[in-house]
Amino acid sequence: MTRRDDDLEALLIGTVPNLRAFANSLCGDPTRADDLVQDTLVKAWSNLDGFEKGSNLKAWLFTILRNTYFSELRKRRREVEDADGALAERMSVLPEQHVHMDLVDFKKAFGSLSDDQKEVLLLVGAEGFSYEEAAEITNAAVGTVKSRVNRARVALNKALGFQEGENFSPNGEFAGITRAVSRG
Amino acid sequence: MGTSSDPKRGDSATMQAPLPVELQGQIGQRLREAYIELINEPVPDRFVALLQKLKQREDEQGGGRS
Repeated sequence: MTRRDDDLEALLIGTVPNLRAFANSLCGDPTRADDLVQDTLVKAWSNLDGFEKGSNLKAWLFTILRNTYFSELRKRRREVEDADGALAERMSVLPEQHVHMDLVDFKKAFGSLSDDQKEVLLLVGAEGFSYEEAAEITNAAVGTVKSRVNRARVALNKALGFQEGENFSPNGEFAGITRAVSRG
Repeated sequence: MGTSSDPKRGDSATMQAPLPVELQGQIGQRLREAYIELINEPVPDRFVALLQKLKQREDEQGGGRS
């Protein structure tokens, strides 16, 4: 593909909100997230020949973004031993003004997941990629992705203390749609 | 509730029992709420400017790659 489609720019711009949300959730640092998205767009633009036309552009961009993120992380880990420890609470950096208490708790719990768990949960649970697509994006086996998603859910559930048959959070805070629906 | 055993330790082959569907749903709902909030953030101008710059640079180079 040597000639750019005129709408390619529009397609790329259209995925920026998703790329930013993914990057933000993954690294918990809005400034770094935007740098990641920028690097992703530059790499994508200069490697368009590597993109098979007709295949999933969004999945391709997500692959570039997460590869960039993890290679940077590896580099940093070599430099700073405890890079991991600082990741935990960064989700709470995000804007909170209209957020309900239970969402704040959720973000905190999410922030304590491992990066491996975060990325697959975001891809499958938030972005709606299939397990197969998520496996391709993360260069992992489908079984590994399923196992990571499940572990992530189990860990979140443990942290949040959800119970079956109890559609509100344990501290009695607003639980939105779920609760409204469960009202008989 | 309580402190979990370290969730960061690897993904061994042992598959944990899947979470009941109802609980999966509650977690999924929170996740999507948090995520949609992020998606709805306005896109900073820098990204539009960046793509314009990339395109412009390419046009100047007659379609060549840098």
